Amino acid sequence: MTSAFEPVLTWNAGVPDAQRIEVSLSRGGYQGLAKVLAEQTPAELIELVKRSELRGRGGAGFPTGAKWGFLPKDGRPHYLICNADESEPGTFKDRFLMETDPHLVIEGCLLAAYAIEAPVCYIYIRGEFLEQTRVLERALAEAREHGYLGRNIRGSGFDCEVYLHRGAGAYECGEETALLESLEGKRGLPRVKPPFPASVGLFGCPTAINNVETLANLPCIVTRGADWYRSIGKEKNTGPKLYCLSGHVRRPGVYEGPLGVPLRELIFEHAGGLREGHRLKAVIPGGSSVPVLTEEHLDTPMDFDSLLRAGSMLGSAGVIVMDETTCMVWTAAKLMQFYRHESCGKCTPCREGTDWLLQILERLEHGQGRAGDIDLLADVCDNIGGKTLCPFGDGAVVPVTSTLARFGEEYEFHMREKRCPTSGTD
Amino acid sequence: MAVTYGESPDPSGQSTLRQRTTLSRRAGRATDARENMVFTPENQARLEEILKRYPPEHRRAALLPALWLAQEQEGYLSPEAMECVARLLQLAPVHVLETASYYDMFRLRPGGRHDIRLCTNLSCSLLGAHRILHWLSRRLGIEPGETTRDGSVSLTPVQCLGSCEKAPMMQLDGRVEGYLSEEKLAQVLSELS
Repeated sequence: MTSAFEPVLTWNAGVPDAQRIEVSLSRGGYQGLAKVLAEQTPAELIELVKRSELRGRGGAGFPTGAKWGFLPKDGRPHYLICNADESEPGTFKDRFLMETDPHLVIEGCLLAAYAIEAPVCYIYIRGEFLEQTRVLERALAEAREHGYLGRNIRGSGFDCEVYLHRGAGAYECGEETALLESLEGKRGLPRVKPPFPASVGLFGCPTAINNVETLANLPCIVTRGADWYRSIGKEKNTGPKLYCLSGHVRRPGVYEGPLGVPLRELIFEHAGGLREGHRLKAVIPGGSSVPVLTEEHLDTPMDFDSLLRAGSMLGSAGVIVMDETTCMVWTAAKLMQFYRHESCGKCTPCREGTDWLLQILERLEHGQGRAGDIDLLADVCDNIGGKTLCPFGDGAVVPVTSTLARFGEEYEFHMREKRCPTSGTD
Repeated sequence: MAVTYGESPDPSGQSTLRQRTTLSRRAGRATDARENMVFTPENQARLEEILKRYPPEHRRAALLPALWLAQEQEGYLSPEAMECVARLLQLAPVHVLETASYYDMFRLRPGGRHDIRLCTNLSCSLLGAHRILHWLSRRLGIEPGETTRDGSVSLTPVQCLGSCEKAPMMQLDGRVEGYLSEEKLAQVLSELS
């Protein structure tokens, strides 16, 4: 994203008909797959990805090569799942990849399937992504016609099917064990872990679940090598990254840079800064489930470890920018509407707690706060975080705990004055 | 291979029948006045193609795709549609209802001919989604969540649709309409049939 950065994941974006396989092939598409099939064993590919230090782009940042290494070889079939259920508020990078370069995503799926020796990959795509489903369907048909999919791919002896499996509108299905339940035709509720999907996943078999953007990183690692890949970004935070900018910026959109672009550069250079006459108040750097940051954190590099040190997380790199007209109690209430609606209902603290939090936040916002409400908010959050089967509960309390920590005086104002101090939001 | 009512080759057909009745009662409909839903030959062929994607002992994995097919064909998932899917996948109808009722995009009741789903999550709200929602609600003469009396448009406020760079945005019959303003909406609405 500095002037020397050359786009890797988005280099086909904006190219006419880049979704067509002929165009993709003419621009290096499927060269990584061809190279691996000709030169490498699955074990060698896993080793290569480990050396690249690629970390999962879905939010957790777990090393991809290590994740693959957990799948036991005990005779059961292995499955690969491409998690395309992108639903974290403020995030739209996977959608962008699928609609601009579907063959990059498919090539990534095939490489991962080869590495873990999976004969089948399911792309679990978000139900609302209708257009992206059509684009991928056509791309899969083209890949099949050109011999990149199905039996004996390009004469290598490697068989792999890639199927689209459409979700139907449930945020929770992005959580990997809930996704497995959903793919098996059930309600998308999380499973108790352990066992982890690597040992007991889809249909009871060893399963690797990787995010779309993670898989899209594989072709360049194969064609250009682990050393080249590690030269992008920072130590232990390597490779290119897609950042999603939205909210009160002039040029919202998807931007690609190395991992570790400072937040300030993303907001003020790439997204054009804030609207005329406004100043930055708060920014959520990684989708709605990560803690809010303020102006003092703008020089933080956008990578897994730096954001953790700054008290937030890279998450899905969905950067939501808010100016001084935004009320933080209103913001927390907006996000709590989301968590209350999307809580799957399996764990009581999350199912009941998100509803309580929303009620308290809404009465505060409407100037009807009751004595002790602020303490009650903190108490309810304390009884959700860490007390649920999946990370949803931890994420759901973050908008409240982080705005309380950084904008506590705004909560006090709502209590004391019985009104909202800002009028810019509805 | 449509299996019609009462002809289920499944040995557990009797219990299936009981659960069918339960499904219908829930929807508040008379059991005997209903007709069976069957997939069109084209959709039947698509379903058979879909079934090949999953291990034969895990037919239930085809449930979401089968429900999508049924909803596309019928407009919504009626008790009859869910019973049809149950027969084809050898599931109890209540298991089909259990799954279908979890997902926001499956409609268990008929909706309007056109479907407006407006994002009201943070990024869209920062740029006026609620002003847009109120405008739409007034213009259509319905509350959010309702369908116009002539059955032409349903208006549903929804959570983040993953197109935050186009905020405020909505999906109209699945198609993304972004950078919404009152002027743009007036234009879009005037083009609806």
